[in-house]
Amino acid sequence: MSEILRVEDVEKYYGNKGNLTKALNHISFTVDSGEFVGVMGASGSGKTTLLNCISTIDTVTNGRIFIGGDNITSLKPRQLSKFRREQLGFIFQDFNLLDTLTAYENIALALTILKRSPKEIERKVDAVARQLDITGVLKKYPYQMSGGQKQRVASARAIVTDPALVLADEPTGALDSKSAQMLLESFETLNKTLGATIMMVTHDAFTASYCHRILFIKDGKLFHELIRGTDTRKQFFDKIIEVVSLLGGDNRDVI
Amino acid sequence: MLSKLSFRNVKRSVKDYTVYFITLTFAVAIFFVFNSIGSQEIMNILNESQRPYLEILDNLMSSISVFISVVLGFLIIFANNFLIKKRKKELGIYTTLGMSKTGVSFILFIETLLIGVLSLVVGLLVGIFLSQGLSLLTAKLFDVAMTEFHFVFSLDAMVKTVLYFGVIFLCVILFNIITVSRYKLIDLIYGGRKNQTLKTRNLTVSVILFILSVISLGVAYYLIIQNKLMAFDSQFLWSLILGAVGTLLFFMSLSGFALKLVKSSKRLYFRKLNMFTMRQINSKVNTTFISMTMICLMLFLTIGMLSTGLGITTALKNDVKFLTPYGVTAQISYDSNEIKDDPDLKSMFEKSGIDFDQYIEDYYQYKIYQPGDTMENMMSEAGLEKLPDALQPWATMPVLSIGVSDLNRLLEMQGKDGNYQLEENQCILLTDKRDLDPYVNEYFAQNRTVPYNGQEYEIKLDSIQPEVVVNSYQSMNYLMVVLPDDKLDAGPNNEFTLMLNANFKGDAEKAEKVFADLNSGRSGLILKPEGYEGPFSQYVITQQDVINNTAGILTMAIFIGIYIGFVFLITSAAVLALQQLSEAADNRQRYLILRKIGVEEKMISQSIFIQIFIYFCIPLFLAIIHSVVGIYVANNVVAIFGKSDTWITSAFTGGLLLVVYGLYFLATYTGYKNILKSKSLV
Repeated sequence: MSEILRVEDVEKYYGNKGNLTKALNHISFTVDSGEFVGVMGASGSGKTTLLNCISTIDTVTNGRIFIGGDNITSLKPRQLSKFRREQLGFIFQDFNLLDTLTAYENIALALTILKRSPKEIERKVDAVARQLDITGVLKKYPYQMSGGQKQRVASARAIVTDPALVLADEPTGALDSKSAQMLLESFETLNKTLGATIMMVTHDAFTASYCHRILFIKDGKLFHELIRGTDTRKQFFDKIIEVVSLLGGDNRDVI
Repeated sequence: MLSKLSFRNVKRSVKDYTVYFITLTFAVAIFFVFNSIGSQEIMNILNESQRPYLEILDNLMSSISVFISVVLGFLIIFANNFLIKKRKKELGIYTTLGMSKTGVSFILFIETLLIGVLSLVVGLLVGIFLSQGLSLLTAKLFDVAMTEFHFVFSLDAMVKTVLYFGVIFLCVILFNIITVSRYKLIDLIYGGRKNQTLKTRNLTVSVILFILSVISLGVAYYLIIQNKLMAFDSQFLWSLILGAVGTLLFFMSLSGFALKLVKSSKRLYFRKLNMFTMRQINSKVNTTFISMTMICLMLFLTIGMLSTGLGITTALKNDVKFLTPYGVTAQISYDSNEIKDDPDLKSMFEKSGIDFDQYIEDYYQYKIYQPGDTMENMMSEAGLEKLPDALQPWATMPVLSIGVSDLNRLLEMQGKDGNYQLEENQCILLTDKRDLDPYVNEYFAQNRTVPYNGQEYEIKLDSIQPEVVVNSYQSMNYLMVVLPDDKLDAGPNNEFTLMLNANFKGDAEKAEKVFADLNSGRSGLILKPEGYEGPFSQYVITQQDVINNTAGILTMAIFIGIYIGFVFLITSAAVLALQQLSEAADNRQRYLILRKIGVEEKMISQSIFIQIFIYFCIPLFLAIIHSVVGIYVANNVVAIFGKSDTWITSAFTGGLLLVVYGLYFLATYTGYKNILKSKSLV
């Protein structure tokens, strides 16, 4: 499998000389195409900072990040937004759907800003909606949908452009357990049938148990790595809990 | 400590305050300029007969200023309210940190004071410069040359401006204190987060409403064009009602209609951010159509008032030279039964101590007869039922007559070649209205004779002659009959006025003043025959008098038009700008989402530009259409006063409007972008 993401010795500092916070401290890892990777860690461990740096929303202090072979740390702002809309898909905790647009239009927006033709837009939106089982809500506005539906629409928007990498930041954070389960199953579908590469930040062990590989972060450093391999989800979940308790920190966050 | 905080706040939120500050500065400047008329340099240059007009204007401006200050007061309070709303959270934090409500009020007090003083100073500076320009404009309107230019500063106007705006700021401060004391802490802190339910109107309903609005506007236009502003009847009233309702429906449904239209073309709808932009406009119009309607009507009023006012006055000015061909016209009317012999006007002037020969080069005394005929009864006697519309306003005015040899002599005084000849029972028709005679010519071409003073006359010439036999302020003798000399007093009714036209010698300024005094009656009824006690009237109209009078009216109309129009304009523009800016704060989240999913900055700017452009332009656009119809109709009214091209004056109005409106547009656009930029992506 080809390598899609390479994080090389990345550092991110906040604050000034007198009061320096190292949010990321010499962190390195790679993600291959078609992987479903989880990033776990307690609050303040730097997992969201990591995601922001990879998603080019934030800049690194030191080190390099390659996505699909491009060094994104050396891109100019204009190139960054181009890169973002062409290579990345985003799923946020609070959905970030535009409340003035219908579900269909929200998904289509990702394609219109790429200046795709109306025919292609129609075809792609319909296809992705079928995959995620949201064909029935396409005409609805966000305020008419449930949280789970909203997050699946957001996922559809993230995946419809065929991005190299889908980044999900606590996607189940605002969902009830049933909706969360449905969403995660959708992620599995996207990953398996469409071959989407997904990187998901979470601090929920159940959510993480859907991943193939989990990176644990503590104090801005890579603390541990867990690979699911042939384990069942239950077994994988137990392993995750073990690591999480090893991680120490704030357990209330974990369970 | 608190005042330090206030200073920092003002400095920090300069961007938020831009529109507020621009509005205050404009308001102060315009208020100062129009209240400083009385003490401007121009007052020293105008002569004694011109000055009273400016004094009247000065008084008028003072009265209007009271009304203006109320409008501005409301505007400033509205703008201030917008700023407070935006800073709810900040104020909430102060309170949570333990600051008392008095403390918070004090901060706001200092801030208001700071902004107030700053805008007063800048506004006054701008005003002082603008008032010099106003002096030049006044000089131009009165046709006097400003040989030397003095920089004049009006202390009175400054004191007045500071006083009026002081009161307004005091109201703002009071308002702030009340607002702060009524807020609950929870409202302040969660002020930014409100559960806004998105109201969406059914698009089909929008389309139906839009069609209805177009129909009602069309009917309103049709009715007003039929009405011609000639009668304030039910037709006129319906036109107003339908116009207002149509405008309201238009703004209510336009965005929905446009959305439906754009949606029908997938190529257009699914292109870049078009979809987002259209939805954005639609979601806003639903909540702001009432204010857009108000703004549209206000703009219409401004454009209409300025251009029609200017049109009427330029019409007057155009005609003034034509209507005053003589240096002076003196006229007395009295009961001719009591005084059998015609008094000699020249000797009467001399008797009252005016050295007639010293001033007058050439003069002629004659009579104008008024047998009581009106255009209406002349026409009906001739068997014609109804006058054409264009003649209606003059239908009941008396039709006067003059002898043909008198006319020839008067034309000679004007330096024209007067040799009209009439046979018995022939007449010539005159008019002092140059621009409307095609109507009348056409009318009399069908009818070759007219009845006048109990006798039938044959019309000698094919067309009506545009000639003026007396100085007058505006066209009065729409139709005048020139008769053979012996026919003048041959009818049953021989009422007449005694006239004298004269031209001044060489430098006429002194003579001008002597005779102008007679007009205003300052010297009493000096032309009254000795011993006569019956009904009597006396008019002395000098050429310069009429010119000054016209300039006076012109100046008044232009100044009042600009003053009120300008205030309306900044009110509309400021309300529009503030509304957009408060939308920007509410919509920050949406733009953040767009940026996160990788929309280019340029595309976002474009979308914002389109939204604000449409917001500013749609009310302006409809107001312009209203105005085009309005001016078209008003041209008929303006024509009563004389020949004028309202379109030219409209261009001036348009220029002024574009500058002010454009400034607000730019301030809004940059302000909008700044509000969105202030939050980073993370």
